[in-house]
Amino acid sequence: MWYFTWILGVAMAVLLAIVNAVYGENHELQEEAEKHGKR
Amino acid sequence: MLDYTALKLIWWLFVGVLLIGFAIMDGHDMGVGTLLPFVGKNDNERRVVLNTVGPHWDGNQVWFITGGGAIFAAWPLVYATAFSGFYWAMMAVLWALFFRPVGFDYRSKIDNAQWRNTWDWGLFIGGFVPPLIFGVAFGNLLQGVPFHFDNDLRSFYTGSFWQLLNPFALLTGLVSTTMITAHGANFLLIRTEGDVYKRSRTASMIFSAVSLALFALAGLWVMKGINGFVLTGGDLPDALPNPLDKTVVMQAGAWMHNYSAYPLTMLVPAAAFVGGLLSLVFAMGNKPVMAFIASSVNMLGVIGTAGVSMFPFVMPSSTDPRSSMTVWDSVSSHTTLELMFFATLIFLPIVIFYTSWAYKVMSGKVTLEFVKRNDHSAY
Amino acid sequence: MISSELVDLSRLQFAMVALFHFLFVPLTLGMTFLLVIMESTYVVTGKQIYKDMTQFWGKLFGINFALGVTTGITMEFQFGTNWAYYSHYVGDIFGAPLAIEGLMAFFLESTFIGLFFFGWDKLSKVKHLMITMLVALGSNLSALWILVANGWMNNPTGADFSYITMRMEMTSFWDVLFNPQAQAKFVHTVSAGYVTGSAFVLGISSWYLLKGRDIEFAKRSFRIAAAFGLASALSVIVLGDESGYTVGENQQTKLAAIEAMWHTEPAPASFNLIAGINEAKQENDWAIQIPYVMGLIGTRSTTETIPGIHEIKAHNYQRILSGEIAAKDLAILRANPHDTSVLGEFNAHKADLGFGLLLKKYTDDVTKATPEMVQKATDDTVPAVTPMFWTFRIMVAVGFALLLMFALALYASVRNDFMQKPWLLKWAVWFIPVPWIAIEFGWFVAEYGRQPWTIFGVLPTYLSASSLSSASVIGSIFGFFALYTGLFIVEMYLMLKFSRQGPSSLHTGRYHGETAHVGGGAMPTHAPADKI
Ligand code: HDD
Ligand code: HEM
Ligand code: HEM
Repeated sequence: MWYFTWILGVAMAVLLAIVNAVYGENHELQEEAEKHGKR
Repeated sequence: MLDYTALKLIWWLFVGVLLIGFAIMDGHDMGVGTLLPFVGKNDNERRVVLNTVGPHWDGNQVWFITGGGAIFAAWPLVYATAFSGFYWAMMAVLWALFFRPVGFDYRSKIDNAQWRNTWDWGLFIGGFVPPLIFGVAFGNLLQGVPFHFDNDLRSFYTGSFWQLLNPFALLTGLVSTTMITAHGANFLLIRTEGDVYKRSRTASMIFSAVSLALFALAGLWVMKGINGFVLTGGDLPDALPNPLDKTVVMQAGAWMHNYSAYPLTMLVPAAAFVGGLLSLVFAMGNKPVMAFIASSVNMLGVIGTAGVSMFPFVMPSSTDPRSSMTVWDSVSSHTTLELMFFATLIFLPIVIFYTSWAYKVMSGKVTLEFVKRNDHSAY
Repeated sequence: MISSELVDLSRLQFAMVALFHFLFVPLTLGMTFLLVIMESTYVVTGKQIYKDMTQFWGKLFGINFALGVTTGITMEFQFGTNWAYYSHYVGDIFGAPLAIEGLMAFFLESTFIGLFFFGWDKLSKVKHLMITMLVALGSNLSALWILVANGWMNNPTGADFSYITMRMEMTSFWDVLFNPQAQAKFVHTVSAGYVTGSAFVLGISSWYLLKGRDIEFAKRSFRIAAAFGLASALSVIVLGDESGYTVGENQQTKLAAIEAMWHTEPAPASFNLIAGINEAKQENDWAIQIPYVMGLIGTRSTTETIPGIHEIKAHNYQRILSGEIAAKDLAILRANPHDTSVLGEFNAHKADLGFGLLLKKYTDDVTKATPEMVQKATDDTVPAVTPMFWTFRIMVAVGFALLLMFALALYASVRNDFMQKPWLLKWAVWFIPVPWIAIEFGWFVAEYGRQPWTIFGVLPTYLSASSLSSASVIGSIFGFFALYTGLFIVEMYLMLKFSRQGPSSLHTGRYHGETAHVGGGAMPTHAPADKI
């Protein structure tokens, strides 16, 4: 049932990308904090 | 299980519904395209005109695509024979349509008068040519088309492209263009104000009047000057479709038979006249929504008239009447008709529902302030 | 007799407009989901920059979408205008998915795309996101239905021939929809679209990063494209393998040509990594082989054999002889449908009717076919090996190269050190056009590999074309060529212009080169837009 696999697969891929984006925001906060820390 | 005869009839109705849906929905933005260079005198006015249909033209165009797909699925032999027979006419429609998606989408992306003016004329072609050719095609269907089938049901078109452009067909072509232009003008009445509104109102009244007159003229011509077709044997409604299994004769005035046999069908051409007249009256009286509904009724009547006059014929052959295609013998199998019946029954109402919602979300007048404010996001 | 020239011209035109349509399709398929991801992140985090991303990438998507629609209309008409006999012969099955595609997918996609672009101020955040999702759903459903149709051409299940209506008729819609080849094709093709979209966003973002402009914007786009791209690249490869398997099940000639397998080998067969193909001798002059691998890919077993070209041809020769009988009986039945004396014989040979029809290329009356004609028709049943072999290998190579690129990109994104890896950014920029190579070659493999059939084993390409004059088709080829070239130039011009401008084309005053417009010009070029 590849149709079914597709439905699950896209949902997972989309979620993965969203999670990666939110996780990236985390990095941004850290960088920001480091910059301020150094100042 | 619906029986085969009923399904064949239902599909004749459905194809009609899709064609009328196409005329009402895609028709109004084609009419708007035709009017664009004339009712918009400067760039901002033209942007107003474009943005009235901006969010909707693409969805509307699908009426056309789905109409094509439905004919393919329900009447494959008609799809095959008509599209290959009218080869150059189809190419002309297709190439004219090319200018629409790109015209709408690319025109306002570059701020250059020459660029924008070129696309405006592209949109004019995309709005003007297809209805004209569809009208011409209907004119040819009414007169019969020079084609025949061989024993393996391979179709051969024996006419030429220029032959399609005969006087009667040009007349029906004009009926079609003028009614669609009037309809587009009525849509502009709903969505615009000021100068654009005034010009559209004039256009609506002129084109409604001309369209009505030409429709009446075409009617007289069909009555007096054109041979209709009559089924004289074979072709049982519930039989397996085989177009070669029947006899057909050509007869002057035969396209009037259905009206005398079933007088109620007179309501269809009557709707065309009443709708056209009311469109004129409402445009004059500044009732845009009513005028739009009236021109929709007019188009329903006009297209319906062609269908009812020819029933059960769909595409008669002038050179080999036996090869003529009818509602009974050029259709898909029982299984496919039934499948497509349910698919249409389920999806068409859903489509109509969300299309209406989309129009509701985007309702309201498009103003000059709006297009100036949205210089970089609107069309 | 139908002229071969006409058939070749019709094929040329179809190949041209289809390959052109498919320049735009994959980007639409991929970008719609990337937009869903960006906008979802906007809704989740509430950061304005993700809305700007949705709008900017949406702009590029829109430019592409317009040509996708334009060229798609051509496709819808091609079957009627240029493949009329085909449309009659299989319209009963083939037309249904096309019509359902319109009803179910195109309406959805096209109605909501208007709201996507014009509805930002009229809809709430969440409602707008729903719209974007519906656009993505619509475009993917359209791929589903058209690939169900195309899958059926490659593996015509759920249908039967009727001599009264002289066409194939549907017996089971379920079989048509759940056709294994359609399933594999669908997921492989849409995944290819996601890969294309991801490579596009990744590449352009990398370019901004290399230029040191719009850093905040580009970094975020890069992360999204890397993650979605990796998942999609994996899916392309897994489903590519599945496609190969279904091809092995249903289209042995295609598989044999792809692998340049001239002879049946003892199972499990070895895989020709590369080979020197000699079409004249019908042999490989040399080959670099990997043992066992072909057998494993093609049959998922170590014991089943994969037939080679010579063996397949011997088998097809017999099928043509059998089909000749079916074609002869069919002619009798067409002349007089009530003459049921041959019906029994016809039904016994009906499965080979398509093979009998292959002879029509050489003679109008198949009963007069000579052994030479039968031999020629047999040779036709296998497509040319050299182009199949190499285009397939390039597609696969691209697949693995993309997988590696996305894997490195995601790893770098998680480590957050992609700014320090200019080589990776450069790789991504250079790879923007590469997925298109794989995609066009993939379609070539699938479609050319189906030759000499339009409906595999049922209807020869030769019989499918409309009865037009060659001059008409030459004329329309020139018309398409001229119009498509013009449209392509305009599209590329806009694409490049807006990609170069970057998010500043939104005129929000927040992006590269816009500082002059913003009061005082105090903003640094890479102002953190999410703070505004
Ligand atoms: C795998 C996907 C796929 C494939 C194989 C095809 N298409 Fe396509 N088509 C799409 C995926 C798509 C799409 C993603 O839905 C498009 C592309 C860009 C777009 O705007 O929508 C589209 C647009 C599009 C349109 C315009 C729809 C609209 O106005 O929204 C039509 C009429 C067709 N296609 C018809 C066809 C036909 C008849 C094909 C086969 C011969 C075909 N397409 C192959
Ligand atoms: C958009 C993606 C597609 C591409 C790039 C593509 C490509 C091609 C190519 C290269 C050919 C020529 C093969 C040859 O003659 O050697 C071809 C032929 C053909 N394809 Fe496709 N194809 C696509 C989708 C489809 C789909 C979805 C269908 C049907 C649903 C289809 C139906 C056909 C037909 C009827 C022919 C003509 C007969 C033939 O030459 O086999 N194609 N296509
Ligand atoms: C390891 C990688 C890959 C393998 C094993 C693979 C395998 C295949 C096979 C066997 C086919 C023919 C299917 C048929 O005839 O029905 C095919 C077709 C195709 N491939 Fe690939 N492929 C791979 C990578 C890619 C990549 C990277 C792309 C594009 C980004 C791509 C795009 C296509 C397309 C568009 C088609 C035509 C549609 C279809 O038939 O599914 N493939 N592939």
